[in-house]
Amino acid sequence: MLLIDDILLFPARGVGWLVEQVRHAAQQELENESDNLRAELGDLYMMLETHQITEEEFTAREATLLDRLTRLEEEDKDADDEPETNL
Amino acid sequence: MAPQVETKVCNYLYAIVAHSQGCGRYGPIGIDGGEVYSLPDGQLAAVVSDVPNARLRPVRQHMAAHHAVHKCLMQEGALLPMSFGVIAEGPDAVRRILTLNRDAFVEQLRHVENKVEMSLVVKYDIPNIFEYFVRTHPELKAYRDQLFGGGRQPSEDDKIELGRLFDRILRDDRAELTQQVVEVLAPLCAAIKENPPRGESGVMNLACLIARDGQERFEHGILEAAGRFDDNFSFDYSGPWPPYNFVEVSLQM
Repeated sequence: MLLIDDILLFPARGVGWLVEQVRHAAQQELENESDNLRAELGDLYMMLETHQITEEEFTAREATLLDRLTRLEEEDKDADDEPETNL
Repeated sequence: MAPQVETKVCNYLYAIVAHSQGCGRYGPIGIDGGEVYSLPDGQLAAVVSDVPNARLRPVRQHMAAHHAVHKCLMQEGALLPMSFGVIAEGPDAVRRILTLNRDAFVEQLRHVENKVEMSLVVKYDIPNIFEYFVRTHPELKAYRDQLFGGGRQPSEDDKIELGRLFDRILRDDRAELTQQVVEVLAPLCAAIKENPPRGESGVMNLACLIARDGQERFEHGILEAAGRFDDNFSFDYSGPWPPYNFVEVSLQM
């Protein structure tokens, strides 16, 4: 992950910068995961459309994926709402 | 952090088609009833509709619209279906995607021109798959009898070992049966993709790229392949679909 290298390479940049980087990395990871979930749901629906999976298989898997996506979006929202910490 | 106000209209991408193809307007069949139209650039065109956000929730209604547009485009000719959820920030961004990916798009369009995708799902049509395998594989029966014979209580390790044997036989059988079907279908297809079978009862999950006018021949092929199997298997084929399994473009953006 980019974070480790950045911290090793720029130890003098100060703590504030580091916190920014941590926030940034966390955000990015969150976005990657929600992108993956979106892609997986898209593929799942394609499989339903092309009769590769049944309606029941789709519904079961869809519920799990949508739940995870909702939870991620809520975490994302909470993180945005938090006041910024001054260090 | 101040909330950002998004006022820019974004373009949802459904597919890439050849510019020469179709009318350019497809009606209000897009996401949220959006007007679907094409944005041409050189020999290619992107089929899009306007959406207010760069993010779209993958709910069923949206995914259904995404596929409905593909179905409509399929009537006209070859398309490169986008996966769900690709959104560009305005027409300029769409054109940039077309420009950056031109060679790949043109090559892939040529690859699927005058072709459609068919899917074939074969499953074990039996109530208890373990029992069926014990019955048809003496090796598995012998091992099970050895472990459970005479009211013995096998150890966890033994059970895991039995599970492994079952799994290996299941995999070997799937591979062999898939081979038998592929042998019959291969001469009727431009390409076949073996997707992983779903669940324990799944035997094979094939996507077949066939000539647009070759559907009847393909159906005969399926019947011929199915004729080699007994009643313990079910064959379910469907199509024609857009070439979902035969378009490989990693978008440069």
